[in-house]
Amino acid sequence: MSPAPPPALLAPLEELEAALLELEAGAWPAAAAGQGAQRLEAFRQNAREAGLAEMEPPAQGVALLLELAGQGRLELSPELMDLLLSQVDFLRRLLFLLLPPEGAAPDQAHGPAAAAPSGLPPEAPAPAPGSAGAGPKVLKVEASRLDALVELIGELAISYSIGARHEALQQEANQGLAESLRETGEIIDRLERQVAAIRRVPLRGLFLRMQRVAAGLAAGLGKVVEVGFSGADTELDKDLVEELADPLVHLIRNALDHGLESPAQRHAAGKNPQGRLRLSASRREDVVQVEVSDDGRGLDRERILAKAAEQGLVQPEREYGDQEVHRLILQPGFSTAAAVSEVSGRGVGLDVAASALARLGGELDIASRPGRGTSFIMRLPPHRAAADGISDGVVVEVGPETYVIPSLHVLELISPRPEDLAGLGGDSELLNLRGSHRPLLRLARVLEVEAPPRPADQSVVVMVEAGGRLVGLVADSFRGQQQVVVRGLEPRAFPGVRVVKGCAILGEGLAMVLDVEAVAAAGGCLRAAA
Amino acid sequence: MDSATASLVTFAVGGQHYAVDSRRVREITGRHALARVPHAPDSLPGVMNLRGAVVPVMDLARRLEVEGGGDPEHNVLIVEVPDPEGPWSLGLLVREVLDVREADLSRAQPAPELGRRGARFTSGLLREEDGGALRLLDLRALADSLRREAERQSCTARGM
Repeated sequence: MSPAPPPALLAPLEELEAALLELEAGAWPAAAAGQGAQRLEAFRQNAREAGLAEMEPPAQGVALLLELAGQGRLELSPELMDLLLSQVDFLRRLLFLLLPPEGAAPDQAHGPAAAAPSGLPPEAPAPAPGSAGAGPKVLKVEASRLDALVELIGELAISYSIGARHEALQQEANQGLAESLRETGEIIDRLERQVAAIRRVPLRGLFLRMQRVAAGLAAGLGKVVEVGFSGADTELDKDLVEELADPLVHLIRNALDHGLESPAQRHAAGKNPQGRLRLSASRREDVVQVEVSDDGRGLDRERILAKAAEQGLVQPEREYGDQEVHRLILQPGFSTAAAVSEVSGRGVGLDVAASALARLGGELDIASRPGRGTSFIMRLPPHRAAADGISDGVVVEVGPETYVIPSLHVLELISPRPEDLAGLGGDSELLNLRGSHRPLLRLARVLEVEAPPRPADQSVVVMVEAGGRLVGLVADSFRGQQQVVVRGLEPRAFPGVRVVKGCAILGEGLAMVLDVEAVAAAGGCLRAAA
Repeated sequence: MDSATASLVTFAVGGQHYAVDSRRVREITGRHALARVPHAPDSLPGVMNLRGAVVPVMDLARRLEVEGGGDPEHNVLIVEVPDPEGPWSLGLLVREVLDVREADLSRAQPAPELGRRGARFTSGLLREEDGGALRLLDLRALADSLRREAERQSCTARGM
């Protein structure tokens, strides 16, 4: 596979595309098309400096079209818009084809600074490259330098955290030192937040790409779909944005293929023959939510259950909540599509999207109403759940060992009373949590800790959400909730270890940071995740 | 210096003498507290904190299936395991570090004890002055065996 083109080349194209789409929506006057020509000029110049002179003639052609439109000599008709958009697409594809193999790319450091993808607001046209435009100054930095910086700050935080726990700091005589160390800690916190902010990019570029993907797929399926997006200014770590593309494509395919009806079916159901597919993003505190919603037929509860029963995924006598039924379609290999279509293939895709998201430290949720549509909701942290870094966790003791459960998954901490517990025979236990029975998992058993068994009512329970289910993890005692320094485990030494996703440095020792989903899977509370 | 001459760190495990190229040795430390990693291969009793880095530690005696596994008084030899994706650090629990010496590797003989336990982790033998054998430890083979051990354990013990 060829490497991704450098952002200096892609950004102007994405901005141009954004500007064209806004033009298409009638958001700004035709005369502003000339501004688009400036983006192309930036692209042309960057391509030339990257040694891709071949890109120039086609880019010039597009620039000419834009200039003519800007001068009012060409009418901005739908045909012209189509032509322009397909030309931009052409430029992008050509870029991928022409790009030299990784490592051979000429130094980009001297390329002109292009603004981050941000669309082209009419009142504040983006400055031409090289010119001293209004707005913040933008500096392009190689991603690897930023990664090195992040790593160094991580080292700094770790060495600080080890020093700050030194017992000498407890002594009265050292209070001055302790105070200045605390200040250092606060500065490190601010440093981490700053560098995380630098790594964040808006989702707009990704959404624009997905909009084109969706339009192409819809056309292939004979569906009439309006594809829109909102919240494109929501920011996410640059690596996460890249890795979100594949799961998004899966979800979009699924929505177009299975979610949205054909124009005739929609008409018969009294709906607008044109379907709607919407990508939206928002951020609430430390969770970024990216949603793919359609206004199609919604999930068919009975059909999913029937199919799941066929595959032995459900027990026929049990009652299943809507959420649980919806989640069944995320199981590997599950498909209810009557016909195998070209677009969604064999019905794989949703499980792939779900597990890809889990790898990014996020989760996939589904909301659906019959006849009204379906939403796939991806929730993920705004930053990569770094193997190395600082994270918030609940520290528990299990026998002689200490474990950290990431706070992201923890809902509450419970000291159960004997009457809240019910044994099911064998190892199975349930906790009555405000009237609902939740499965309990003994960490000592799942993690194979050598410790005498302890009655559950003398234990503590950490309620976590794993794969959409509430599960209680049973430990001996809590040690508190705290920020911990986390180091990744060497995967080449521990190739078979799933239940641990890192190792926390707790001053006096080390504690494993648990992968809650994998623990639940290993404990039999979930089907093992791929 | 002859091109086949190498500087070797030698150590004792289970009554036998082993050696690794000193260029692969990062440091030698005294005993460390180990944190157990659940579901890890039996030969990896845990990880240790080496000035903020988390380093996996192998009980070499157990891995080589010789006497002396589980001894808490061992030293830790931190080595760099060569790997096409880049070297990684591994701590080896050893009974005693003996010395650092120059040796002519062209005189190394193939390990004659094929089939004997631990032989697959030995890339060659050097004759010591007292007539004993110095086994050249094959770090790659050690590392590769972890993956096989992990596969075997996950199939049998947990049925996952």
